[in-house]
Amino acid sequence: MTSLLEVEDLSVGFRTRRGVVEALSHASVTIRPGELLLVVGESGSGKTVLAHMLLALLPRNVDVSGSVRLGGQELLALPPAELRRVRGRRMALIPQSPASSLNPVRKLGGQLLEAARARGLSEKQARTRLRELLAELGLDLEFIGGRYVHQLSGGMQQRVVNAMALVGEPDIVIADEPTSGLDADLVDATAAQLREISARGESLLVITHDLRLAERLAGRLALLYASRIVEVGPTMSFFAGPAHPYGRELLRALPEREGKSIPGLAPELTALPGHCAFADRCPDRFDRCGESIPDLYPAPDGVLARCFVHAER
Amino acid sequence: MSASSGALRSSLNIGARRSQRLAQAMQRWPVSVRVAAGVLGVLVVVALLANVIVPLDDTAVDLDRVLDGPSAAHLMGTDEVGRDLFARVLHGFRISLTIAVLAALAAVIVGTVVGVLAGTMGGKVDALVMRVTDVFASQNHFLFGILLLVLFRPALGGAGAVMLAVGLTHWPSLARIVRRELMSLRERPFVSAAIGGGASRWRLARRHYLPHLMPAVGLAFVLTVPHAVFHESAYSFLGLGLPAHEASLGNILADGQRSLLAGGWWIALFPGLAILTAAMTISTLAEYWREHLHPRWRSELEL
Amino acid sequence: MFGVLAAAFRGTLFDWLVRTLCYFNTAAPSFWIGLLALYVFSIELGWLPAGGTSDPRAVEASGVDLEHLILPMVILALTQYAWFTLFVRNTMLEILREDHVQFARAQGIGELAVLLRYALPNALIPFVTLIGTHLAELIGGTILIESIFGWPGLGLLALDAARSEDIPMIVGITLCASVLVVLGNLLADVSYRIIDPRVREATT
Repeated sequence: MTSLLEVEDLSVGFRTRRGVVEALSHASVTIRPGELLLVVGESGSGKTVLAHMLLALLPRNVDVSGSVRLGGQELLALPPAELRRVRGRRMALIPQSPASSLNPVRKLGGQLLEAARARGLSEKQARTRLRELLAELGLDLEFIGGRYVHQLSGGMQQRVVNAMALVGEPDIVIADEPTSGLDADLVDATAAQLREISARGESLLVITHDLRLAERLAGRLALLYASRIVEVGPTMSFFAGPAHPYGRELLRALPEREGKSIPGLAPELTALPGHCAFADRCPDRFDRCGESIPDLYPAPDGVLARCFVHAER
Repeated sequence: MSASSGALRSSLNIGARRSQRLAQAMQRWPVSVRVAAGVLGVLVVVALLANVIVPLDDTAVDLDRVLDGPSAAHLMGTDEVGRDLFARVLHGFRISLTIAVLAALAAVIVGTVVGVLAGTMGGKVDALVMRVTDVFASQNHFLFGILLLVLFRPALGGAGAVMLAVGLTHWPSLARIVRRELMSLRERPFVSAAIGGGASRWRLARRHYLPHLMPAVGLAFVLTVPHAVFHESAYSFLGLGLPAHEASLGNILADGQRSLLAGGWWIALFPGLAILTAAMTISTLAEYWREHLHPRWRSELEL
Repeated sequence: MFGVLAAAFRGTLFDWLVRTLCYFNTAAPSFWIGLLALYVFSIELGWLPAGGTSDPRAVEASGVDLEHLILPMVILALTQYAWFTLFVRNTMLEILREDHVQFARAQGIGELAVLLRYALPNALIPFVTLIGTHLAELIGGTILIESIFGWPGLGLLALDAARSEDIPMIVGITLCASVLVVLGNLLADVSYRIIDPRVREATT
């Protein structure tokens, strides 16, 4: 299967007054057409930066190196305006908080249309597509179009935002923290919604720190820790038994499992160590862990893990 | 008494540690703030030593050089009577700044008292006080100030009347800030704890509220000073403030207006420059301080 | 307008220039600038008249005494303008950080469109209310400007009254000013209601 999006050795650093913040280090991942990829990590691990990177939403004070190829086209070589257009058409974002992601002072009709037009649809096409799409989601274009954001319920707002994402028939849909701010009992419903979207055929990239959501989705999973990808593999393999100690400890920390939290703190992104970033908190640590940064080594069940334990094979 | 005040002091980092924290904070200042602080520092020192540097002598007229431009002998030139402008501006700076600071202080004191009154009493007192505040707040600063000046100058003299005018026009915003802060402070747990411990209202106000209000009040004070400088010089310029013979910056500007036609531009330029520098440096420092304050205060301190 | 541009080009030379000029203008006493302007444009360069108004009959004929009006008007506008520019800039900066702007960008909408249709309308709301409340400040400014340029308006009237200790007159003018303040606030509230759809909901 040919891959749709290839990220290779991507590093993103933010230039701040306190120094350079290494938000993402040498990340490599591929997304195939129609695939669902979960990007999981705690806050500050780099997952949001990855999403923003793909969507051209990064601020101006960044240093980016590496390669991002969409359908063979190298995105990082494009000038910013062009980049934004390309990404706008081929990638779509379902933002974290629908309520605040829509312009509060404009009627929704205008915003929906503009979203569609930005993806290259003509006025007529846009209307037709939107009407169909909203109908599929259970909404009426005329009803929604004349209203403002605050006049809709949370669920309706979510569906409007979904429609805006899907209207241009993007190649990749990126869902940013779909369960943030939601009660725990809505996780199942959200997972179902995401599965529906994935079933439409587009690739789906789900950024989340919510392991309960991840558990309910198939596809592959990439785990981030301190700006690096530490484990990549089928989601099922991960939840059956993670290959990386961090993944293992993370699962153990869940209340429904052992509820045992991981001691210590993640390292500061301005001062990443020259060895395995998890070593200081790792129960399986041995000498080599404190000497250099491990690569991604193959582990059982089609998983890759950034841990010296698997280097022995 | 000393034990508990000691605890309070250390919890708020007052005393010896404050200078340490200030020194640390100063290192983080951006260039513009440092420049502002430096310039202001120099100006203040010079102003305080004005009498030492160049004693002001109204009779020191250099009649050979009446209305002379800036030169080696007279750094800023002379006015139409032959007095050295530099000396006048220097003293004017001192006078204007002093009055402005005192006026701002007056506004702050009145505002704080009113605010505390409204905030702690609540109920009908609060409502009444706030309506009074509204009346004062709805006045155009300038016009109301002029009214006050006309009414009180005979009694209080130029300087006093100006301080009154500025004080009575600028206290409402402060009162509102103080009141708002107090209302939120009252909800906090440490207040309930203190009340539970049998503290009277007065004690509460003094020991618990005041320290928390200090930063906001202090900032409001600093922000008011440039306004006060502007007002004082404006009133004096119009002839309503300090008497004409006293060297307030506004008065000198008024002289400047008269001598413009004769070509004496320097008399108009330098006092204004002094006002501008004072206002800009103080504002820069105050704005920087405001940006680093607790975000909640930021919107309320939009004077 | 400059506020919007400065926010859009934040951190650049243009932004710095705009900001510095504005700080300068808000700190500098308006009457000082007025005096200097008077000197430069009237006395030295002779472009514009130094003050007063021209023959009243001529004014009535044309309706507007432009020559004499320009300088005072410009100076008066300048200080207010500086303050507004800074305010708009700050508001815009805050809004540009908000979620809906990010989302619009993520859809591939061009930066200019984002600025004009998403950021600006939201920024205008507080701005319009600000204008309303600042209406009354203008009167204070006119006193000074009129005294410099000899423009026979309400300001000079107040000044003369003050100098001759004509208290009832001053009180009268002050009252007029307070009425204007209240009107300005009212205007601000009403326009707020018209512009912001969220507020419309709350009040119906």
